[in-house]
Amino acid sequence: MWGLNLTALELTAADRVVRSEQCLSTEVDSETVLMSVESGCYGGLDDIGSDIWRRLEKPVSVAELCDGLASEYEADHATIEADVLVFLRGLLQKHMIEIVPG
Amino acid sequence: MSSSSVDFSDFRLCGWRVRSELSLPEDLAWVGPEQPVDIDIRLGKVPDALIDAVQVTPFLQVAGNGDCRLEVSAAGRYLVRQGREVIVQPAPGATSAEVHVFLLGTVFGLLCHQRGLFPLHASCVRIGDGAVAFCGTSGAGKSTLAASLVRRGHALVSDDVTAIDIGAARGPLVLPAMPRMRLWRDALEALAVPREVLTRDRIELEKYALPVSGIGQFLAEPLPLRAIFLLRSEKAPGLDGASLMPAMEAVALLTGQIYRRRHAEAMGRRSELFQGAARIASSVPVRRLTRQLDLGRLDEVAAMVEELVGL
Amino acid sequence: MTGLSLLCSYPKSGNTWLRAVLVEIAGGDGSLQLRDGLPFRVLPARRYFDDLMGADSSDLTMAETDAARAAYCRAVAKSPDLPRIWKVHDCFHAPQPNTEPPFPPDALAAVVYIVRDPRDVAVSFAHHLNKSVDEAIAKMADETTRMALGRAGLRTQLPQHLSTWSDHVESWLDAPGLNLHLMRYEDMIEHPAEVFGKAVRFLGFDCDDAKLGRALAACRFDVLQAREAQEGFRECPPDVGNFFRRGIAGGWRDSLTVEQERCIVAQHGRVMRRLGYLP
Repeated sequence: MWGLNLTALELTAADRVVRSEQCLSTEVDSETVLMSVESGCYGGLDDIGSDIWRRLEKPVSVAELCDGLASEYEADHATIEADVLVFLRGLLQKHMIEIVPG
Repeated sequence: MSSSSVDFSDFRLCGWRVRSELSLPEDLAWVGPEQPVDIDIRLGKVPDALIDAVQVTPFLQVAGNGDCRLEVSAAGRYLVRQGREVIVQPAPGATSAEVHVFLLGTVFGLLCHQRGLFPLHASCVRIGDGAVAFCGTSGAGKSTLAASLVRRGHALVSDDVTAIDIGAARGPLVLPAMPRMRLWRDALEALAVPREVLTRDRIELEKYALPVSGIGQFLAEPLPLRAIFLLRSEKAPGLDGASLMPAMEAVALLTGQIYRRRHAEAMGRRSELFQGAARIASSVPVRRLTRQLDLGRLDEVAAMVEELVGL
Repeated sequence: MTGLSLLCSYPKSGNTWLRAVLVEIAGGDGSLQLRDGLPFRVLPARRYFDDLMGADSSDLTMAETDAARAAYCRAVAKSPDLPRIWKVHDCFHAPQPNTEPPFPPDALAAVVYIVRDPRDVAVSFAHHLNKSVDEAIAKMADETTRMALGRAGLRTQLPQHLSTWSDHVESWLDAPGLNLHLMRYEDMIEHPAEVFGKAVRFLGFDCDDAKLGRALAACRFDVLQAREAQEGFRECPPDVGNFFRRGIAGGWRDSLTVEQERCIVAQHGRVMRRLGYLP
């Protein structure tokens, strides 16, 4: 709809993603607040969301990202992957992250 | 051109010493210790357009180096440079009141941006020992609520544009602006302000400048920002209330309420202002204040605000 | 950047009903709420005008804001963070002669124009303005009529030039260069699935019949009325009891006097004939 990336739902574990340069981030108390210049959307990230955001500073494949999280949080890979994909699709939809081609 | 051949006076705005060839309202006259001049306002020719404009509207142009050109054809042209110089070319037949409207509004806001301050589109009063700011869409009633609080004995800090120094040592600090408010006829009638003290700025508009001495006091010293309210009107009665905003919403609100935001972004301030909004949201509670928009209930709403701030 | 899509109409012609259905379709089942007002808001709003134009519209005269409307529309169309779909009540052409229309076609992707029998509009308009039917009829025939004029106090919307009802209709229908789709209120009532379906697809929404059916059910007039009674409707003017009042076609027959009906037909007969409201 209004300025959103509607192909976001197609994101898979094989894709590589990175923070969008057009997305600003800042800390308020212990939360990370994001603002996408392109979509005008804001997002607030809790602890885990903020951790994932930190890991998106450089391009990383979704699968690699999930590996890192699974070992850090001692949770099973399948659950992490499902949750992370939902989370990343949301960020992608609002132009806060981008898919890196290749 | 030597300045000694030109008539000028000194004025105070946000603690800046402003040397102006254009006469400004008396209530802004500089009193105080010697201080170098911060800003010069001169009369002069302003070009038809900025050559390297990166953003252009029918009223405002922003250049790559942050210089701004404002024009309202009935009032005049204003060139605002580097936060240190303003050149004003009044339109033929413009009254000083008309020229002041845009000088003390948009030009003031642009100077704030050029000088690294955080101007919020808000009215602000002192309640207790801190500054309380009211944001909201144009027409939401910020000035009217501020005026009713001033009438109840709380000093005015600023009306319409609230200049905040984000980097101040002890947290966001509000700098006092002008000891005057601008209000519409319906609000002035509800506040029972005597006609004699009012100046009508533009003949076509029922909007008036009110020196705050007409209803209360002005605070001339900087003050820590203690609370922010976003005004929202409600149609039905009995639904007055306030709710605290979570961090993300507060940052979004504050960013959205920056005075002349898009033009400041064209000046390259986007990231800095976003960080500034986060600083404010970290240390100042931001609340949504909902009340029935009813000029007959000004005192009730003012009392609710006093209570919320902890007075 | 895609241009703007406008939902245009003379006031009280079914614009809000269309917006409500679009909310359910765009936002998903059950997303409609009335309390805070609907999305797809009125385009000439001060908050966006001031922000984009760099001047406080509350310090500008009506002539000055009128003159900047075309530039404002283009600026909204160019801002990726602003919505694409807006409600409009202004007539198409500018109030002053030889001035660019407030809605330059190069900034627009699509226009849905909703029209309603002016005899029903008159009755509904009178109620909305809290005035007599005769006063409403006079306004509809007055080319200087504006919405949100607000002289003594500041309104959150800019004053909108309506012109006469006839001029309003013709200005949009005959405007060159527009991708325009016409809807009649009476057809919306008579054949909702077909008429709303066409409009929704025209605006580029992907919508199957089942989804449209659910949206129409959620926005049935009696449902909206009941919801307004319960949660209030922000867009209803403060001194007016309820926004969703009758929602029928032809109600004018038991509201207008013979004289009033004759007056409207005399003033707007040509356009009424064009739209099929008169034989």
